[in-house]
Amino acid sequence: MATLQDRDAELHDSTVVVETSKDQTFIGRYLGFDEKGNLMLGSLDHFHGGLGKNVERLEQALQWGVWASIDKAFLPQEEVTRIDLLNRAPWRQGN
Amino acid sequence: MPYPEEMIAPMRSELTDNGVTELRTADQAKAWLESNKDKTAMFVVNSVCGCAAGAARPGILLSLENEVKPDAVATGFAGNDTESVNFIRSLVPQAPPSSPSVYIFKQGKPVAYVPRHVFEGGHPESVAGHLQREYEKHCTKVG
Repeated sequence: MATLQDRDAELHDSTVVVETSKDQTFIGRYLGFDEKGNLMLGSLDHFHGGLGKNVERLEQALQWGVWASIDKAFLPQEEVTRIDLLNRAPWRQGN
Repeated sequence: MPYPEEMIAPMRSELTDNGVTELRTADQAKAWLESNKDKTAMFVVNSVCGCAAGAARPGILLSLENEVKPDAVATGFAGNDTESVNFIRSLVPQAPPSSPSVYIFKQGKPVAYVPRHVFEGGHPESVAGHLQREYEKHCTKVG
């Protein structure tokens, strides 16, 4: 199974949607990993609840882009349950 | 802080050498929209980033080889042509500032917006395809 690092080339510097085990959704620019292995996101927004609870916000972001409320975030890799390009609209995939 | 002009000059000319009008001030952007108020007009927010070089600029130029396309195409450079870019952005306030990006106007009103993430990781062909689908919806010019 691919690790997050395996997907670095695919995701780097692109706008991604991230769901975490803490029932959060982040949407912002994928910046790679810091020296502690945390996933770095830039120019991001953050919502409570997973992808399925934020469909309207995610559809808005897909259409218009991301209103960044946070400059940079560092997410523990082990908390990331799902990550994909915004363009792929992962919340529409139903799994 | 604007980028050094000598650095972005080739990024500008990639579009302007292919017939895209450059707009640097708000007055120029307003006049351009006014002069195209009975037509379709596309404004490209150009940018230094890799997705502008690898996808947006070549994709936009490829899209303009389509039969159906905007009557007028103009551009401003994010970070340098702040007046014209900010004026165009003010017309679509629901879109956060991003670059590269594309605004399409019809009869002076915004009808389509292509945000940065459409260009990220894309190829000129995919960008051209996306834009051409917008052209088919909103434009009538046969080039």
